[in-house]
Amino acid sequence: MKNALQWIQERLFPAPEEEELFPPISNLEQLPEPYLRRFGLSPVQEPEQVIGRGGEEGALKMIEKAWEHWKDYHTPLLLESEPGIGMTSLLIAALPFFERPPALIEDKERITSREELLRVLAPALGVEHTGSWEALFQVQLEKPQVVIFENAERLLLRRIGGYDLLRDFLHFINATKLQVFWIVTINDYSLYFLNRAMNFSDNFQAKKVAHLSDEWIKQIILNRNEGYQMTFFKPHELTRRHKRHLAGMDQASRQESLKKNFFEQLIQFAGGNISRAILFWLSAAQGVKGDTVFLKAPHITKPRGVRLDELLVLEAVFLHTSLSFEEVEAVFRHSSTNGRFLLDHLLARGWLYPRCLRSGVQEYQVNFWYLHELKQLLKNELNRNFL
Amino acid sequence: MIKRPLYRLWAGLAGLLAAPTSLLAQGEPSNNWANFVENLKNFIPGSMEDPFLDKLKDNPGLLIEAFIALPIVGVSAYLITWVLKWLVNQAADRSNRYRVQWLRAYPILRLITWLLAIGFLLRLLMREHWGILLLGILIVVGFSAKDGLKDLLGGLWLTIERPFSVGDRITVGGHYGEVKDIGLRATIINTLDDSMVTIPNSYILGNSVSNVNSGENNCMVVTELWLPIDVDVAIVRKIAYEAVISSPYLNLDKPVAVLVTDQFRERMATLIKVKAYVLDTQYEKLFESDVTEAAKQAFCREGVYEIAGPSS
Repeated sequence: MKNALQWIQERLFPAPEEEELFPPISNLEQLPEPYLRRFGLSPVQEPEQVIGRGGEEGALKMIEKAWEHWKDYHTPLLLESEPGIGMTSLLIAALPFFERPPALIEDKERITSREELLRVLAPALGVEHTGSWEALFQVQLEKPQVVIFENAERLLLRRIGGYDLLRDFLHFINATKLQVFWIVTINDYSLYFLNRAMNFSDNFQAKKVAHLSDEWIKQIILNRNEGYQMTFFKPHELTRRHKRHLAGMDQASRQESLKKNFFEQLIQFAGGNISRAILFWLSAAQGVKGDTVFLKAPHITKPRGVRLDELLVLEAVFLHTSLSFEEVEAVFRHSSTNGRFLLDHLLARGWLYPRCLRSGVQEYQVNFWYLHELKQLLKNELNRNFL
Repeated sequence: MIKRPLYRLWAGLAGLLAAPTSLLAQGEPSNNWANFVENLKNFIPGSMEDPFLDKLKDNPGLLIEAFIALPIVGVSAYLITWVLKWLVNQAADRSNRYRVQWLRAYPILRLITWLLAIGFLLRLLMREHWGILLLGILIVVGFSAKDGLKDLLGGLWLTIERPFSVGDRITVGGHYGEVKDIGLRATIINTLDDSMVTIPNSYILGNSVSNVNSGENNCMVVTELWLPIDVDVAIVRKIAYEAVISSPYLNLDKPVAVLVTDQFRERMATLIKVKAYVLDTQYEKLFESDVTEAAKQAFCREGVYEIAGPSS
């Protein structure tokens, strides 16, 4: 039987530049490809498709204000968020604010040297790549430019010497901020760490992108499901009182009650994170027949506890958003057997899932399914005060 | 002149001991009991006018109740403290973040349990004469010159005053380790080489105690890195800082300091002191080792010093 991950890799994202893999979900094979495509974790491509970010207090307004602020004070913008809440989609929705189309550096490859950083930055500024860092510092642009640099944590490797690239990047931002409106995004846990290690956000106007509201989470899911009827099965956990309640209802009322119950569970599980909501939905989808999707709320179990060394590896992976085996080795200075064993163990237990980069390097990322549980563990077991 | 409550206590204790013997020895305890109490009244000065002994003479069951209640209350109190300890340990295991706070609560809960048990027994013995409880404590204080009582008093004092608590890391009498238990007689600490050291409470009261975390779950760890005198300070300082900031055991919310000093004792050397807080006291030595290991590897890589190979 085909591994669910391989199945997704081959069918959902055929020959991609970079795979966005779902964590293992057993029933994905029951769902037809067109339906699965609606619930991909990839960001939306059109600004008008982004919902839930508008309004006076919304994240889009926040970016617009930061842009106006830059025109006077030339302060770069730092956007922090929990992974999976739709940061790239938000940035795509913000593109129309700017007079000139911004350069979007959304590559998720880890950048490990100045040369690689140069190769990424030079085209973004629209200058020829001369291979000289000093020359790039002296760049003079004809018109102000907007550059969006996603996932700044990929410049970091938590080890001695692993902060140099990030410092170079900050120097470069400070050297060019009069000509370039920099928008840098970062994982909230990485920022928590970097603020303590090197006062990272002092260089920016730092803003936190809020989680989506419960109503918008529900709306986004319903939008993606548009055109399909929903039939809800009884969930795994049903109280006796609820069962009695359902037994006394007609078919339509029963479905309405189950729907309400289902979305309550979905919203509670998602906790404002759209990626978690999508995973919940896909886990719930039992199959599609015609234009009807059959849904049964999945049984949410708590993950088995982790040992200290496993938790430290999980923390490191989360801090960098993703890490390859070699990078885990570098961070912990493990013997190769031990590091591999820990990663395999966490992979088998669903805490991590693999993602394959364009360069062919296999990296490991925290499973969104356990993201909030991991955050709680970091707070409770490692006393990290970031929640 | 002996105060009235004091001779009541003596009378009660003498009666408590004598009553079962008297009951076992005689078929009709009432007459013997009455004679015994009368003798007691004559024996204890100033007791003639007190109605308490008359009550005791009429109702010897008061003492029998206390005699039976003693083991029952004692065993119950012990069981309650055992259950409390189990609950506290469970709670501490569930949340490392509040581990120390939970562990700190146990000695107080245990003291309250035992005080309630003793209070209940004394109340049973003395019925409504609560003043006697206070005097009983005074007697204990009077006898505290004895070592055992000194330890007992010390245990009570440590529980109330709390110069340290369970879960704290202390140094006393040359022993450094985590406080595992503060008993009524002795305090147990678990040293870094996993030895359990029992220290009498009277000794702790009479000596200085150093407490590194005072109820917090983190503590400062000072890692010393010895280097040649001619090192490039900028490089070693950066390495030392990044070694500590990269350690997974670092408490990220507390400050980190890297201090550089020159030493001219037996040999000239540069001493780097890295002061940082560990995320949990139980990882103190792991943290120190991790920082040392990472820094040492980087010093070698940067050519700050060389590790000599095995001599041939």
